[in-house]
Amino acid sequence: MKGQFAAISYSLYVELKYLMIRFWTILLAFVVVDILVFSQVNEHLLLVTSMPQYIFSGIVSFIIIRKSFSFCLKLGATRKAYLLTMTCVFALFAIVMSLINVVIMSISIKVINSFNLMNVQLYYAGDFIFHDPTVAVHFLTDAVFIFFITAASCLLGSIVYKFGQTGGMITGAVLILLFTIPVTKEPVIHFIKSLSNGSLLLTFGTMVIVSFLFFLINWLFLKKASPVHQA
Amino acid sequence: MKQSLDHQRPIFQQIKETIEENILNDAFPEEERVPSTNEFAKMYRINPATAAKGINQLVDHGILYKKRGIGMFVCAGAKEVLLTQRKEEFYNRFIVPLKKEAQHLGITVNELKELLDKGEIK
Amino acid sequence: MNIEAQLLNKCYGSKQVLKDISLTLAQNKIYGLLGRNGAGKTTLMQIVAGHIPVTTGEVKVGNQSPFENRSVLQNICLINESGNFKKTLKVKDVLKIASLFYPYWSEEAAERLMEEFDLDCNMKVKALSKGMESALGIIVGLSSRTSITIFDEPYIGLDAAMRARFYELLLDEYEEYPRTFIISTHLIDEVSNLFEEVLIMQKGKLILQDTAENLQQRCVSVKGPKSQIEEYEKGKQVIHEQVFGGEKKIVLFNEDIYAEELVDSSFHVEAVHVQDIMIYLTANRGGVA
Repeated sequence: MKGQFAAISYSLYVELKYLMIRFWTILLAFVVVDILVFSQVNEHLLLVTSMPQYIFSGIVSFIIIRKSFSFCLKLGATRKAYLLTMTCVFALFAIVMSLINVVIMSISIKVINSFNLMNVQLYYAGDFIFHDPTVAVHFLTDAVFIFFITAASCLLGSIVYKFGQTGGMITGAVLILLFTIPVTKEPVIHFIKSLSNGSLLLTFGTMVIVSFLFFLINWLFLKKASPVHQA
Repeated sequence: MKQSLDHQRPIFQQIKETIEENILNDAFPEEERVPSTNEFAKMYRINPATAAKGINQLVDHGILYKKRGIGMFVCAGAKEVLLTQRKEEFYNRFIVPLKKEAQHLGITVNELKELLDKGEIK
Repeated sequence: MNIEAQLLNKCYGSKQVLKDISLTLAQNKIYGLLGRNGAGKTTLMQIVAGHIPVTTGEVKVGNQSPFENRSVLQNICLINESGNFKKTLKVKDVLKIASLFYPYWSEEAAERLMEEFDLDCNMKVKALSKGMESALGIIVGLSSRTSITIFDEPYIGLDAAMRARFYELLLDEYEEYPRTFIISTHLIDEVSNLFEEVLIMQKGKLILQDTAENLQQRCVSVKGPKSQIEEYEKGKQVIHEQVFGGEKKIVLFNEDIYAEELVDSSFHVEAVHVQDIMIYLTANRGGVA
């Protein structure tokens, strides 16, 4: 098991490192350029770095199965080991992403404050949810959200891997229906509302558990999936 | 040494014949080491088991012997044994088909003898 | 580790790819798996390597089912003809990952082979030529030192000299670390002497398994005047025939090729290449009994 875990996590690490370096370079450049530009003009700028992170995490976890599942299987990984390792790697991925964000945001805010650039405002996602959140809360919020997003889009990724694009589209259509038909829409929205009304720990705890559940459900689609990609 | 094998006869037999030929023309002198199974396998790109079969037959016939941990060696007197064997084979391999072909072409025994005298070995 | 299959069947949807395959492969031999395209060779190898499950029947590698079985999987390495490695990885990452998967991986062998094939470990897989990608597959397969190493046409893009080198390197590895090699190939003539045993597949069935030597002894081509050959071939198993003018050539299977009537006859008798034996046996004439 140790060898499998090491091998699979290393192959995911190489892949994620490659993507993350590119993502953060671009995002950082974007933030720096924005600050520079807006230090000269008298316009108002509002930056939320959490959003691109969420989108990036969603895309990465959606394509990861297609990219590394069959490669690992061909070198003798078991599907079980792959799924377990992937879950752990994405948990770590969420923590690292959130950590990098906290570091970059903290530095950027310091820079903005020291230059007294009042027209540039940086926000975390947490700023829109909580009153006066601490850095720790921001870190936790982003980590949990990212983990949840990776879990959901990983699941979609496996469905597409297993059933091809048609399968993915059908799943997408079903999800859209769930949110549009009143009969199903109401309970779903109610559920989401109840999450945000509960305590922080309860909400995040539920989200993490649901994320792990999503990863578990992957097993249904991957347990007999072929290493030769069909779609 | 023979550079390639044909596919007409079993490979192990050809390995055996190659070694015999080399002993006869002193390329593998008596009491000297001959290439190992694996060396033969690599040289001719054949399965080591096939090479071993050819070599083992020569061991059975008292042409080669094994020194444990060192390799295969040519037995003393192996050349003599092979020469005798070859002479016996000569009749079957050359004289019989020769006479058969002569008969086929209508060459009489006397004419054949004349031809044999005429043919010189350079 | 022995490989055993009992009445193995594999279906993709309604399409049956493997039909009732039963076989036993002993350990530490070099096997040649032959057959035409679509005969099911690749599927059989994927099942043996535990990459895909069987539909019905049983496969045992070292007495265990290979599918999703870690202890078996770490001892089998299957190299396909292409698409083995993730395109975005660097060659050195591929080697590193493979070394983590296979417990008996030899770093020394990998380095030696990298030099042998002149590969740059900093190149990305997608930048490799077809030949270089095949070479990388060969390097991983040989360095894995798994008890069962399977090569499914591993030579795409390799020139004759490099293929010859591959066969030599394979023999080197086989000598130093004896293990089971299964090689599927279309270039049969250049490797057939490497095989200890040959398996021939046709339309999802295993139609023959024999030692390479026996196989060659079981098959003979006989050429002679048409009328005489037609008289001679009565009651014999003819797997191929060809008429050229007044002359006829037949290929006999499972007949006594050293029979006196044959040796003494005026027929032109020849051995048959393994490649041709495969072609004749898998031609659409009902196969072998």
